[in-house]
Amino acid sequence: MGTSGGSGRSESGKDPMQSATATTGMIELAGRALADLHRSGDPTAFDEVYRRYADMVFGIALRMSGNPSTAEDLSQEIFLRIHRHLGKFGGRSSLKTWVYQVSLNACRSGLARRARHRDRQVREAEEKIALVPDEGPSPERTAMGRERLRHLEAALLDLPRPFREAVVLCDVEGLAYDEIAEILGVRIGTVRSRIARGRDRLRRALEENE
Amino acid sequence: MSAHASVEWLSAYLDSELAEPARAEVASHLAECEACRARLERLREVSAGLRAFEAPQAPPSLRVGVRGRVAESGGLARWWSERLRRSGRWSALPAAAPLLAVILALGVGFYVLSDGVARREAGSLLQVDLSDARAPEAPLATKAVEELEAPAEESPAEESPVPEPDLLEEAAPRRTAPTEVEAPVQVEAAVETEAPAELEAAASEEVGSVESLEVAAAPPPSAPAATEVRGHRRAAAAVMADSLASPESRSIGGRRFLRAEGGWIEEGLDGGSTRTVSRDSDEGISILESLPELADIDEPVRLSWKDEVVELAAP
Repeated sequence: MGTSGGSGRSESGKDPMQSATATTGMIELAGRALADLHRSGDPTAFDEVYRRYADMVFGIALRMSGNPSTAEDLSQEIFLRIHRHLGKFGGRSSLKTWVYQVSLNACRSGLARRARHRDRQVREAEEKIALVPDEGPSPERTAMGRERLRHLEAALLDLPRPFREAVVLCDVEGLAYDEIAEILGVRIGTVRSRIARGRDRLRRALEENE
Repeated sequence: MSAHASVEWLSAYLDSELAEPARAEVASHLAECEACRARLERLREVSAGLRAFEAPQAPPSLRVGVRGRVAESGGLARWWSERLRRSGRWSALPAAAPLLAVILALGVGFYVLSDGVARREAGSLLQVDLSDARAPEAPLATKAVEELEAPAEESPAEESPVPEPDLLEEAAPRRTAPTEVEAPVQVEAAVETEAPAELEAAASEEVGSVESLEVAAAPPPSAPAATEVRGHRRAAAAVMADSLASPESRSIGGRRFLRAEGGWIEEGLDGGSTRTVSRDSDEGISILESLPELADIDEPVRLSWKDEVVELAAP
């Protein structure tokens, strides 16, 4: 997804601090090294995290909120949290997994807050903003027509949050079950169940719309 | 395998995430079962549809927004930590002395103000209102601030999977919001124009504001306790409660009310007859609850207390 292909798991094998001195070397830095740099006050560490994960974070926020404006607000909040906590990132998971976790936590709290403070109808009206652009996706990418894609997108937003998270991480983000389990902090069996139930609800929603 | 494959197995099969022997079992079943094949195809269609979503790109404005938020929240802390790091902890202290002085002054000022507010709350509002509601609420805000300032988790894996409240934004309203018990309907109509400015403020939606505390401050000790009026309505209620409480007679809106057994009566209504305004005790709030009995009075009813006047719209 976008520029988010970089993963904190890629280890360069070089001395991280040495790599950090060169701008290009930053790309090779592992998450732990970025955290060390950030802790030491080097602003390029956070810049690098932003560069790697901005699209990914925005994409998650968009799929969880269904609204570009809300997604941007949530993304700001996510990166603010990353900035605050990056120095304490211990490297127990990959940096990418950690960023996913921060993102989902921020989305949960941010969306829950919005749900409490906003009139539901207003929220629903916002969610109706089409996220599927008129000119895409191309028909060869999917057998599903554009209209059905929009129904699918709306149904995704109606999924209960645990199902939506699992489905988004699996089908939109393309993660494996074990990665999703690590991000969500649940067992693989739970991930399998949530994905299946989420997809099944989406299937039924599409059938009801036919 | 039972009659059909479960959706969980089909979905995992689709993702090649089903371990043997379950995978072989599903494959074998699919070869025989048209219904399960059709179901698998629908799941595949859903999955393919989701994968076909356009990968959004972060808008350029996000970078600007993030920079702003980071600078806003961390600028001072970063400056301070950098200062300490570069200069050594103690040698940095003189440089930070003005900053520390400002922080100290703000802290003292805040303490004095909040102490005053708390005193007024305890000394006046609680006579009218909410002995149950306010005491446990203050720690919420404290807790919120503590949690905000607490060291962050090393990894968000340790963050709670349940939605975390936005403590800073929620704590304040939670501390001051009206509790769940609604005030009598009649009290809601009590917000009218002739009330003094601070009384209007107190009756506004900005519940628990300093203004409301000031209005409700210092009712005489005879003010009755009332437990049914909450939140922003309490200031008006305090006025009315006091106005209608202990004396044997009261003039309200040009009408004279006399204490009678079981409540109050209005004197002189309908050519000298009397009318029960309240069948309840001498608590002012009870009288408010009885105001619908004045429904035949067209003009608003005025309740006065000291120099302040509260005008109630006729129900």
